[in-house]
Amino acid sequence: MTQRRLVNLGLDALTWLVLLVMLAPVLWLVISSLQDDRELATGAYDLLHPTLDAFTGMWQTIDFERFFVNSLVICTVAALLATAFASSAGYALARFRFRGSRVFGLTVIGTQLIPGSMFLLPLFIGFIWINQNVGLPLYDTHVGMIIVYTAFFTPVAIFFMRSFFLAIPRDLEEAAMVDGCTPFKAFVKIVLPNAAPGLVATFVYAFLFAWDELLFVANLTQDTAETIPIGIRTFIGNYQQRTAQLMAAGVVSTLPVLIAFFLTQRWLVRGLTAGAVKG
Amino acid sequence: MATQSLPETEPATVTVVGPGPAPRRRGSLRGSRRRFVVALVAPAVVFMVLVHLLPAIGGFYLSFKNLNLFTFRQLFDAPWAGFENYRTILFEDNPLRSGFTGAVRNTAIYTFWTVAGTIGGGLAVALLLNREMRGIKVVRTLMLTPWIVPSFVVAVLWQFMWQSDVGIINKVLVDYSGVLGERPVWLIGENSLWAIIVPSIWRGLPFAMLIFLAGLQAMPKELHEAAAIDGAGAFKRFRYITLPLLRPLIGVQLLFGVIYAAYQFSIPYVMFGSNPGPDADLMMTLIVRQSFSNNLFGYGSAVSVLLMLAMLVWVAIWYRAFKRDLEVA
Amino acid sequence: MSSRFAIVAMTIAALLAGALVYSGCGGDDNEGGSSTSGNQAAKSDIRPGTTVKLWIMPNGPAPQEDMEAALQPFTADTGINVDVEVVDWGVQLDRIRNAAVSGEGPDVTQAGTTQVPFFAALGGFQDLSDRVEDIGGEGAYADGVWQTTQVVGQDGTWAVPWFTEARSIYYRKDVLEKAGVDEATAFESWDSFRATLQAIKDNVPGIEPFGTPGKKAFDLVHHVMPFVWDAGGAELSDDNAKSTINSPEAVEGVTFFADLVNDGLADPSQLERDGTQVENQFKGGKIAVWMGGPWVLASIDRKDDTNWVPAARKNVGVAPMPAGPNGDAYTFVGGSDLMMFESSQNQNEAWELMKFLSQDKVQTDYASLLGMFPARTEPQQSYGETNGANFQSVFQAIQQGRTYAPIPQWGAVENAYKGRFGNILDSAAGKGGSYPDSVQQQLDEAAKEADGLLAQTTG
Repeated sequence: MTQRRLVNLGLDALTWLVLLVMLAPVLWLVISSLQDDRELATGAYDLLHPTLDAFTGMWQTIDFERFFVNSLVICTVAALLATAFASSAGYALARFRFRGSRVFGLTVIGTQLIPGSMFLLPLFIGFIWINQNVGLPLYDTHVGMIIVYTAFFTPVAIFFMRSFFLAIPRDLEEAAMVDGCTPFKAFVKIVLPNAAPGLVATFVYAFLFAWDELLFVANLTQDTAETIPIGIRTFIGNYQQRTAQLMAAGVVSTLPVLIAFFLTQRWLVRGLTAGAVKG
Repeated sequence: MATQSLPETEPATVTVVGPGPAPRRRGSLRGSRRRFVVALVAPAVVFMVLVHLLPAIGGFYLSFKNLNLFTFRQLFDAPWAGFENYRTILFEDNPLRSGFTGAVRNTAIYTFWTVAGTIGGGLAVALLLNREMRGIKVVRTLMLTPWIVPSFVVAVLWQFMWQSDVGIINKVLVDYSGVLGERPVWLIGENSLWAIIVPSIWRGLPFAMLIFLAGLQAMPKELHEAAAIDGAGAFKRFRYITLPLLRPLIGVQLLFGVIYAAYQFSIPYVMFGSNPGPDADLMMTLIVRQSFSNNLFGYGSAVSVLLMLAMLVWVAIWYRAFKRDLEVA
Repeated sequence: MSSRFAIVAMTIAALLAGALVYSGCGGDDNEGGSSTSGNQAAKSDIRPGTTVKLWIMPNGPAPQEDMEAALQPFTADTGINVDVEVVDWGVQLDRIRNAAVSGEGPDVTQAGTTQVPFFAALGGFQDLSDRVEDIGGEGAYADGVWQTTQVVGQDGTWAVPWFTEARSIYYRKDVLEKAGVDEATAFESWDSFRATLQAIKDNVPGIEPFGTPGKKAFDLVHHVMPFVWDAGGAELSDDNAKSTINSPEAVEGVTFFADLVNDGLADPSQLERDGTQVENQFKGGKIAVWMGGPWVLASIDRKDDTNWVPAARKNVGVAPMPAGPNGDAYTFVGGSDLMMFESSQNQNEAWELMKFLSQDKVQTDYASLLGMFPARTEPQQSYGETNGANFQSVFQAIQQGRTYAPIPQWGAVENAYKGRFGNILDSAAGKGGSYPDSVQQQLDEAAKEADGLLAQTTG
């Protein structure tokens, strides 16, 4: 008996230890952001005298506000659009077997196989061409980045939504359609509300990916639509070295996705693990 | 409420192979139904074709062009180079090729260790968390935190942590715990590849853990209990029950893990800049550097195509190994 | 009678002549904007109230404010507004290139002197040869400075020089004193340079003798190349067709520099950092000797630059680069030029801005804010004389200045060299590759890579 108890205690301790090790870098991020810039650059830190200087100063050192707002706007709108497109396409894949559904499904997976660098230059060229011939500016615009991100994160979102739709029994729509609803109405009025957790989870998932994205903003934006991943690098280099502010910016950059995650955590986890519980 | 069984709809991407009646004509839906489906799928298809497929084809096309500093303004009309770019990368003895082979080697090592660490570590932690303990729910949730931290934050954080003189890692290893006598250098030289492997594992592990944990919890307890009664020890149970049941999940993690690792860009780019050095240069940083710093855009496109071909080969290999796991229920 | 007739005739002739000259400036009004041959852009050609967009790079601790303050008289005088944007050195090459190709960008941009040929060859920039007489043309600039506006193989004047800088040796006077080294001769020659560093290492604990950034620094090549030049080597052959970076002389120069790292005279942890971070290490009192540009001098007096520790701030000395075995003490002379975009819709106004920034007084004032040197010869000379011993040292260095070949591929070649130099320094610090074999090996690779880049053609 006691041996069992010991083993359990040992495992308990190990669990907390593992958690601590995994969280340690994040703790360090937070601690660093509460230090003084000059001290931190030399590696010194003072746990007893935290200061919020880095958090207030970071907005003046670089135009972080613009990056933050840009990231927020572009990622939110792109995630919304991706979720919308993904829900309709995911529904189709979940409910209907239609000619081309297999091709469509494979293509969706296939898009994940293409390295981002293959798109870069053609997209840049495409943006210029559209501007010159159609008069619609896309390079370094929010619209341009939203279009790119929507297209990019829709495929992943499709499979996400599909698994949520699969979990909703058909009877609901079929009952509605027997009552005279068009399939479209059934979709909108019956299925979607039921899939609300899935919609939210898909939105957050797409948002997470978009927030993270670096390769495309680096090459398709200039100043107007610059987002955090590129802007955050200017804290270091070129006459300044604000390490604490950089860490503070890291904290601030993590907050939106952190909040989104913890608010929707249950549904998000369910969506992510849907494949796992197929049994 | 996790569903334990699939509804009757078959996932569209699963191939059910085998003898049976002559295949029905699938997909001949009646008029309005057909229009409905098309309407559902259309927006996604339009976006994917316009923004994904067409540019990808464009990228493929550019790999056959001589697109460099002088011809860049001509964009798609740049002079035709045929297979010249590919030949230079693969067969000619020049620094461009040694840069290429170096990046291939680094990416292979990086991918191997990152995927092994993520899957192995994720599995281990999932096993550890698959028990009753006070606060286990909190632990499980908090354990996901590294995955949520954006990759550029991961890169700047770890870059600061890895600095040989002021970074916290060396402080802990040398100053605080005395484990090492000399301060290792992480950001240049042979260790620089580890400087990106470790944060990649750190960030990817929670996700794998989440998936495996769900799989473990969906596992019927009766199997383990029956085996235990029959005298199988924990280890045997793991090997003959747990692992096979987790195989499909491991398979999926493996597939996307390798692809994601091979295409890694953010972490080395933010940590090292466009030139991580010969020990940490990955395929994507090589491509971006050759394209945008050296203005060898045709070369960059060709390397992208080769990288994608390599991934297609990987998918084919994976499919062979894990085919039967796709045909579930 | 006849005199009146003469007066009227002459007046009409003058008016006719004026009208002819004026209409000659008309040019074709294509969508590229206003005339391209405006050699007498009269004040009436300029539209007050226009906004000219200007890109600058971080030229000091407060680049936006400094530039805007310097431009206030310009706006007051001409009514042209200037929208200033600061573009980081790390992204400026991509940004400017994208702007040139896409046609969407500012009207005027700052560019590094070594980048001008690349941008000019890329296309998208305005040839200014018709306009430069307004500011004195070639004669107003030292030869080396004027060359930065020219491109081999492409006629025209593609930029206007803005400010000049040269790299020199920065040192801590108090540390030298403690080490017992006479600052007058400390950095005279390669040998005395090494001896000084050794003396610091032996006698002054708590501070590293020398520090240099590694491949992360965008200007690493500017630090290493002077030693190559001193030893008699060169980055390219005289006809710019081949790389000579692996010649025995170049190897000698690079080896001298890398030996400093290998022998512990240079702090290896600095190699992990980029240029600015190492600069801040000098300001923060961590290294005693450093190589850098004159802008650091201007920051000594700036209270808003908090990277300085008091001991460092009060004890800065500057010396020209050390002379090599042949007696040459070359340094890299660089700086920035201004370029006008072809796609600009406000070319006359943009030119007014560039003219303004080329005025002697404006040159001197702005340069002194930054700690750079004016590009124009006259103010440059008096600048060195009026600003004290440290600035004099930099001015001396400029006289021994040298720059790279003005070819379009230079940017890419420099990048290739930078990577290789960085690898050599890394191996000298004991990280990867075996030093000193790595020097020849890396330089051979660098030469091959550069040859490949030089061989790029249009077809």
